[in-house]
Amino acid sequence: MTAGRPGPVRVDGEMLAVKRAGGYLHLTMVAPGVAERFRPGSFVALAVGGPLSDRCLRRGFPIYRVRASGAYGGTVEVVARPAEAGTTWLAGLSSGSPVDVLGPLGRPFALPKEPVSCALVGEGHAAAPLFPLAERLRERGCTVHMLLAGADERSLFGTLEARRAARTVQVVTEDGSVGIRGRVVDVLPDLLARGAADVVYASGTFSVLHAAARAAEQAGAWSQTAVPAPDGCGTGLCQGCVLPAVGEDGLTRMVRACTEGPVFRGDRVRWDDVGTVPADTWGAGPEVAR
Amino acid sequence: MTPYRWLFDRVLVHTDAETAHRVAFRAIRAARPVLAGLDGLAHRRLDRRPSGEAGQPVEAMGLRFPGVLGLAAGFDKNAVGIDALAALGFSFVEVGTVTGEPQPGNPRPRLFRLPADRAVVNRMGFNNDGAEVVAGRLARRAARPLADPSKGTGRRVVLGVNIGKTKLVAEDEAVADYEKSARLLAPYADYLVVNVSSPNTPGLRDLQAVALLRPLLEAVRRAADAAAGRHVPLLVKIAPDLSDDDVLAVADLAVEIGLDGIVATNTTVSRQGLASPETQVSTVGAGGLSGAPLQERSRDVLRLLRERVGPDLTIVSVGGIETPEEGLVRLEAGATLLQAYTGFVYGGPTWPRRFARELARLRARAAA
Amino acid sequence: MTLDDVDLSCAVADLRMPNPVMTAAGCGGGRELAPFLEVPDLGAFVTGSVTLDPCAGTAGQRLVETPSGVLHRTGLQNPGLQGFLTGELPWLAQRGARTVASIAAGTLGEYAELARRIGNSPGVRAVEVNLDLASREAPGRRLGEDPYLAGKVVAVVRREVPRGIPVLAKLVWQPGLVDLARAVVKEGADAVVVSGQVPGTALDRSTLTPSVSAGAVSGPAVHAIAVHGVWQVHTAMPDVPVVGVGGVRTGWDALELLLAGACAVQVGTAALLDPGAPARVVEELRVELGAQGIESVARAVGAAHGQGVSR
Repeated sequence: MTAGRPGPVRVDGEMLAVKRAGGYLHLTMVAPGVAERFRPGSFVALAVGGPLSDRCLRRGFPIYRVRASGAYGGTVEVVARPAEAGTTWLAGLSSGSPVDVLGPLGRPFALPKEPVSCALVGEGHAAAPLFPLAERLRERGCTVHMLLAGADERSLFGTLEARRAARTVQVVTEDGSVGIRGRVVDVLPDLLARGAADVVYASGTFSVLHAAARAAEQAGAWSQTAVPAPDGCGTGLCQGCVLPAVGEDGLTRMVRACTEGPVFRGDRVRWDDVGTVPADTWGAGPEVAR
Repeated sequence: MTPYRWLFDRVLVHTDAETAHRVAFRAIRAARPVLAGLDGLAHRRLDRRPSGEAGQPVEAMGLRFPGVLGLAAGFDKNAVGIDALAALGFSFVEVGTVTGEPQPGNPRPRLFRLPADRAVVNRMGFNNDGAEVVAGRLARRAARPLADPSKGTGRRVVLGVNIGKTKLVAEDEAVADYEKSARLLAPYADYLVVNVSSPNTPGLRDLQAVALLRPLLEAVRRAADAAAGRHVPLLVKIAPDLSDDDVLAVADLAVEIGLDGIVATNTTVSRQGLASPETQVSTVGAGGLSGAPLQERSRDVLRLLRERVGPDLTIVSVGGIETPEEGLVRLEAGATLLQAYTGFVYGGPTWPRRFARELARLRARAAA
Repeated sequence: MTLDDVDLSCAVADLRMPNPVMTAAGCGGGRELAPFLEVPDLGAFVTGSVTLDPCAGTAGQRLVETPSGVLHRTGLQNPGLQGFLTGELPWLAQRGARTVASIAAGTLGEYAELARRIGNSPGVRAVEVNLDLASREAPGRRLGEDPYLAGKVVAVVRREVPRGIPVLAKLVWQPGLVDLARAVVKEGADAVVVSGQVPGTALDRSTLTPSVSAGAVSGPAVHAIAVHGVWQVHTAMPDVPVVGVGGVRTGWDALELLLAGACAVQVGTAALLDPGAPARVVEELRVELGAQGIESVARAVGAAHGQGVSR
């Protein structure tokens, strides 16, 4: 690999396995070319519905794991929750079924050059991309602390694996069924204070990311936040996944989660304004088109 | 707080597209198996795949063909439509004939239909972009593992490359010309075919004589395998106008030197037994005739070959196959795979799929 | 017939192209597709619509999947004229892409300025006028639905764009399509782009309120509408170049539009699922023509009318 991020590829992959993982599904696909380009935080966009599908948009999933192995190119693993027809279709694929994979897409997590202390915050199955990240961080001599959150025990992901991946693991559930009762926003500031983390990495819903970014800021740490992998095209064409973010010039722009993200600096995203076009955004004004 | 720039590696997002392309190309080539490769995991995975609309998969020459029907050389001379042709239902596509040097071929018109005979006469004369340009095109295709999601099987098409002699190259330099094509094209080919049977390049058919054919095939095989870094299945394509004895001599040679297969047959120079009016036939003039009139001789050559070479050698039967019934006849006569050109020209874009589907049904009925 | 005999070259007025497959406006700025195809290999690259000032686009959900289609409302997010001229156009020009610049505005004055600046920029081979907008000068009316307003826009654009750079007027299918097409041609449009896109609104199943309202539906769902519109305009004005856009996914979809009377086609929604789709359609069109025994795009254009295709 040369310097920089090599472009994504589109491959006719094959589903190798669909396994249950707690309340989620763990999909393993053969997708030559994707694994080789992977960096933690990047995602894949899968076509759904098969050869005669009337589904015109892809489904985005953060990459959980890759294996660049064997004569057949690498495998790519993602964690999904079948919530709508497209993901349900994917979950129902038998081993050997063709699956159309586009990836790896998007901007990955930035890695520290120094062996600093890192807090990794994952909500539900959005925690998946934090595991390959933890591995890279440890390779760099970083100390990894993990905080896994969910509504209940069933919605947690990777609690066992986290014990291998991190020096300390904290679990927080809203119903208190496992770990501390509460939410990320309740426990993260304390964790940061104790662990003196230099960087917070977070993956989850916007509210969790917002909490993580704010806690990091208050603790004087940097944050890298991975917004949910967008559905749509994954390549920046459809402009369906935009959110307001502040650039280095101090200007707010509508940026695409698929190409400028999904990982953003937590201090750059205007979390309160996600879903809107703030009035001071570059080019905001009366809509031209309609 | 450490400044952001100091703490983090710079993440480069907007990689220059060309750089990305080159990187993609290298990685894919490294990662990409020969698609139809038989060994290992892919084989086992493929085995569980239900037989699709292409019919029963065929294993031959260490390759796995999704079905028996392929497109014969001559339609896609420059490798510009492989995946789109596969999308029409061809399980393998033989591009070419490609020659060592680019050449314009004969003046137009050079392709004629004889509808009364369901036949085509061509004197194209190996018009093609030359091995170098075609290799570049195949390299770009290999770098881009694209296929249409609505076509599922697109990428499983087996790619054959048919090579021939540049017209201006003298006969005593023919081997070097073929070697050049083999060297450039073999890395992208699932199999390679040495064409020594087109009637439209003067002297080409003389290369079918065993004394000339043996060194040619051996040289091509060496060049191809060395360039590709693996064994590239090698076949020879022969003319229907060979005498039975000459057909048998080629068959013996194939077995002796361990060739992977024979493609039989090319077009004929014969004009016997045509229904088209004499005047039309003579107006059309010289060239190779393909289509229904070739059917009988092509069948005979197939039977001769199969009887001589035994059950293992791959025989690709081509010549006058338009109906699924004829397809079944060829398979029963010992063909491993089938190819068509004229049947496709007359049948149009929906023909390959119709043929494959109907043939699969005939085979199922015959087997029952 | 062999594939090498198939002549894909074509022209939309003075815009000569090696093949008739263009992108549809809104397929990014070129960089997005570059990892998946060679942009210069396409007939032409049509840019996202450029407005005079930068445009941040629509708030809220912008896109939803509909049966065999996509309902979208992006509000023409784009970097504005300056951003286009300094950012996107040089990238396209440097790579030798045939660039068709799509322009959009709410007033005649804005159209005139866009046309003058863009029409005189090196690298721009044609200007496509997006008329699917509300007029700010005639409140309550939409440019692309009013022959008078649409004609006015085209007239000012044509006046500002140098000779030799064709002006393409893009119209969305509607009952008055033919009258609109006549109006824009009369005012100087060199070609008409006929889109099958239809308006749409989708509701959200959890909030029971609109997820995307007053957007546009595109994709395979509207392909037959595009074929119909191309057919109508070609029938009314057989000598006017028509470009068809709507639900093209395959070579046959493209050929269908050509046979109906289009001299070129655009691929849009298919690229969302398959970013290589525009290039794939080129290859498939070549094979489709070859397999049909049609030796050139020129022979296919409008061939479904009257005598049928000559092979």
